[in-house]
Amino acid sequence: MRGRVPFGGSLLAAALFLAACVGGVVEPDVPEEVPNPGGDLEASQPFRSLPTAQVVAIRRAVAEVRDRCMADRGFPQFLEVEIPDEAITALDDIGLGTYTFGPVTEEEARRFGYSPLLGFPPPFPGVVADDEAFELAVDECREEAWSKIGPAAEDTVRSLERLGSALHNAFVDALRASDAFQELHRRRLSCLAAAGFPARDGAGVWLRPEPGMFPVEFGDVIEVGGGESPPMEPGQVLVVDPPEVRYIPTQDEIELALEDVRCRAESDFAAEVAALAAVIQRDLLAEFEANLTELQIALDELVAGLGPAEGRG
Amino acid sequence: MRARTLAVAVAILVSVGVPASANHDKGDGYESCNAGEVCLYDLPSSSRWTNQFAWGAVYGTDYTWYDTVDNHYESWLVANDMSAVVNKQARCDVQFRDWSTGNTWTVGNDYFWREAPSYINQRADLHVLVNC
Repeated sequence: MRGRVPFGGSLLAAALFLAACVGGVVEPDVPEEVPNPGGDLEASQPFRSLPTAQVVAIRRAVAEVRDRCMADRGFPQFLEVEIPDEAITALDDIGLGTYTFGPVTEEEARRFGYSPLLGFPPPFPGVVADDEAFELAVDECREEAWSKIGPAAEDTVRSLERLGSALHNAFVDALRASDAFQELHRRRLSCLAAAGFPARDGAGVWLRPEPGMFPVEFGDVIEVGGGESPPMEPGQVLVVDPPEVRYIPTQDEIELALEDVRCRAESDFAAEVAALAAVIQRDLLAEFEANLTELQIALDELVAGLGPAEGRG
Repeated sequence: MRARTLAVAVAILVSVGVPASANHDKGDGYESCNAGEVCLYDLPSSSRWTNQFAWGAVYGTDYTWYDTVDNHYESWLVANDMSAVVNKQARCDVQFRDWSTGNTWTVGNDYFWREAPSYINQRADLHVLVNC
């Protein structure tokens, strides 16, 4: 066991901002809340036909019982930290997101560059413990909460979420491997090269560029406050806030992102990818139709057993 | 003026110390992987280099690995370098994402050592908490 190294968050942030100013990096212009996934590219996908709302309803019902059970056992911390919608299930985030390929508009390119925070849901506080009674209560309350929903409830929900995860990876792999997407990718690279940004060799077919793929320096994610680990004592359970973070894109990265947005717009990249994604996703759903039908029947039974408030969604 | 500003920046950085920006434990502050934490490891079969989080995080250039044997921070980044994880979150699974390929890897909160599959090994840019 080792204590935490003291953290000088605000001082460090000031130093990084100063260093950024003399290093040719633009002033930070990133709001606290970066845009979250949403929009036409995401909403129109066949994967959206999966029963996400039913899974959310079940998981919300489980969370309510579990967190109340923990409070009854002397651990009220979970009641203090509400789980945001985007963290309830990974099922609603499979397939393409609005920022899968980087910023969408020139305004976003100017403000965020290729910020890895684009499409990253804001983190929520964590509950940490150095307490065996807490860990035992977590296990027992989780079991109690799932058993109240119905037999095999956890298996059903987790099977669906695992299938969603498998579908997602099969989808992005098939997308990158397809001749049609590789042609779109070549056109994207040619356009960027013509604009003065030739891609380096060896990166393969990618969706969103990362540092090293172009001869352009990318920016940094920095902490600008919070996120300090508390001095824990044995037997303690604490709620700890995540740090506030910013992304500082470089001016060169912004120029690259701007050209990328223009190149994608000129080639109708989003519409062509959406059409291609629809075909791939429909094929995958058809391939797993038997599994999905079986899980849907089990899910319907579970949702029917929820109370009126729990079944909404 | 530019040189003087640079000198000030460097001086502040030196006084703060690089490890502060690369703290290995963003959970309970302890080196061991405890309840509530997502514990990342640099190697698939060793817990020597680690970084631990109580929440979702984008790694960027903000986090480097911590050497638990020699007790110091390495220069190499967590980003695109994670090879194993233990998820001790109380309520949530953890999902790793690679922006370049679009691949994701979801790990349940089962306390087991999990090696990253090849499609995400040394590729993850971030992790988010899901299936809570």
